[in-house]
Amino acid sequence: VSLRALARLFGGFFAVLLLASLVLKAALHVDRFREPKRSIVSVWSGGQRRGRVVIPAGPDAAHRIDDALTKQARSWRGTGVVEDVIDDGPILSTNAFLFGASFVPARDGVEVTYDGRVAYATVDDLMALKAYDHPIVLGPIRLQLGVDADVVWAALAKELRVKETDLVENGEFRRLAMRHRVPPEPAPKVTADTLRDAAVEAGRYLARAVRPDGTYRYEVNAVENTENEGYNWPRHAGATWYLAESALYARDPAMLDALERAARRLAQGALVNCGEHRCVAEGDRADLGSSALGLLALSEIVLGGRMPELMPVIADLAAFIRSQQRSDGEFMHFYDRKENHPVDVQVLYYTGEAAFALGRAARLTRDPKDVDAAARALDRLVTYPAWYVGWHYYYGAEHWTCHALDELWERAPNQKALRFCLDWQAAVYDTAIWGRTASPEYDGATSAGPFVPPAIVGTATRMEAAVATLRVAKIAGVSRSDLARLQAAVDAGLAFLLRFELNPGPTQIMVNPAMMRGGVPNTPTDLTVRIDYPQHAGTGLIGYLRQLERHAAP
Amino acid sequence: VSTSRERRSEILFAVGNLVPAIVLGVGLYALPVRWWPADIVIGSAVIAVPVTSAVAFGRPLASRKALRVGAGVLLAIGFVLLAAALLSVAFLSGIHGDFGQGGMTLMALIAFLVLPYAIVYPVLELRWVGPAAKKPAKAAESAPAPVAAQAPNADESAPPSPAASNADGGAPSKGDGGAAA
Repeated sequence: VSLRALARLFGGFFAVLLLASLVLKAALHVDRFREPKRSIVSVWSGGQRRGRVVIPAGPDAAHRIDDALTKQARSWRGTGVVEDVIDDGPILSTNAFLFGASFVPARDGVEVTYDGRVAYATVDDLMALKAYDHPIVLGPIRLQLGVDADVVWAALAKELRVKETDLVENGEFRRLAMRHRVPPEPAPKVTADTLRDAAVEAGRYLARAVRPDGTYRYEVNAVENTENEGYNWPRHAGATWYLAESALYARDPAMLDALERAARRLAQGALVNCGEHRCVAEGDRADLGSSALGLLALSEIVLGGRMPELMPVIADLAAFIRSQQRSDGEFMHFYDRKENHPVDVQVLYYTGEAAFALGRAARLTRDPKDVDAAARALDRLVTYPAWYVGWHYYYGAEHWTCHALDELWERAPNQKALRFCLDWQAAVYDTAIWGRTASPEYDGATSAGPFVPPAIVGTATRMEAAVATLRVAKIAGVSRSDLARLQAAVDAGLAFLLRFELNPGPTQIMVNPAMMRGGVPNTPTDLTVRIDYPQHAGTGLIGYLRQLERHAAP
Repeated sequence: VSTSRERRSEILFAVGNLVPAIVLGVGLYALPVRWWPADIVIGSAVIAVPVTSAVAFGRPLASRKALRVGAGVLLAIGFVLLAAALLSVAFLSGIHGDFGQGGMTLMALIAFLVLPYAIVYPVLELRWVGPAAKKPAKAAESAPAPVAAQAPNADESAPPSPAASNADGGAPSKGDGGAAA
């Protein structure tokens, strides 16, 4: 084929494609920074919407909104909410996939006109329906795009009292770019006061979640206040560690009481024999993580001057963990209780958890063997081979490694571990979310994909590691550029966590907001709170709070 | 008839065509859901391209024509994939506005995975194969072919005379005017 023919073919193809792309983009674009076109005033109580008034923009709009808020809230004895419609745009198709992908989660609502009547599904409505949190599962592929079309259509059909099929066929749908006016969208600054409030509230959430028998309400849906099934002992131990940190910081009697219940449950109900030692386990196979985080939690409590009777358990757990260590510093992550021998298999987290826990426990046991074991494990974690991509600890979610670095720095400083954590944090910073037009509040969060809301717990684990690394970096005197980047990551990441902690969060859509206060949800659109989410977020928040307080101290 | 060197190139392109065909076939098979438009379009290409390669292997006189068809099919698939990718980006950009560095990196990665197989390779192949000859006029069909022919210059917009082409109708040599046997 001649060059001229190819050039004509490509020129024509790209010209048409470029034009089509520009037209498509312009047609779908919404301006999120303009003045509102109208305001939707809703009243909620008990997590249900009870009333709604739509007020068009105009000179007396503010007065009419106030009036509607007062009247509606009074008549329904509920919480008044105002959501502004900033702009609107077309929906290209009612194909469920394309329709669903036509909305930005937690930013866009839906308007439908049917037979001269108009109905709205606002951001609050869609959050309450959990419509933003419905992944499209294509075999092994899990996509989360916009909204669940079926849920939205069913809700709007119910609102208009028409058949869903009629609505989808004959309704005219539009996308609404929305913003909360009342209550205003939170944008907390990272200060000692905001950190203290958020960290203590996260601890209070965990304290409220401790049942009389010492177990936690493990995973709770904040919208419906319902519990999901399942329990996990490493997470019980981890949550108890953070409950100890926050309760001992706040000196709150209710938190301390809950802490003792959770600790007793761990020390009495979950301890079993693992050969000549005791360990935390259920069934015949013990995992190292449960014992390591159990050791961490119990050590934190005794270091805080509570429950000294736990010391023998602490010594025994430390001995069990040391007995699992290989000569190269690595740990065998499991123990077969039936045949009484360690199982030399490794998974993520456990070596870092064991190193950190032994380092913390050594402050109580005063046993140099604990520090030595922790230091060797840390060195093993950060000594990766030349073919490092295959190294299973290389830049995984290695937050425990950086906790161990911080814990051991004054007793066994490890420059290689500091470099590892600094480099990891640089990678975290570079791959974080920055500059999404529709959701600038996600800046600094760890991405879960380009078009989906970030995972809060992913950000939380990276932030707790960043805060631990920051303390060491300041002492070790790393370069200004390293320090500045780490500081920027901490500021943005913690601001994101403060923004999305349920403190109080969207209380209007929750059945029992008082119970959920301080909880940290899975994502900005999935308000499920598992006990380790506030633990990870709280650890970062309180860690940085302590640094600010130390810095401010005379 | 092609020289042995050109024949080697034809064989190489015929084998080379199998690579994108395999990639497309594996990709189609691995898709977790079935969507008939994609199945028909990509499935047809996955069948058509190896068939043209088989013709290029088995019938040297028809190999240029077969390679041209195979490359054309691949290029068409490339255009479809590229158009789908760019329109998807335009759609998502219209909905989300700027979606950040992560999104752009992902899209660039997808583009760089698709472009070499589906655009660059078939364009090189089409360029090598050269232009198709115009159908000879009836009178010319009955006239005896000359013993030797001058190679056409593929860069010229005017097509070569039918008599200057191979019996299979393809360019007799490398598209930019190499000597014919």
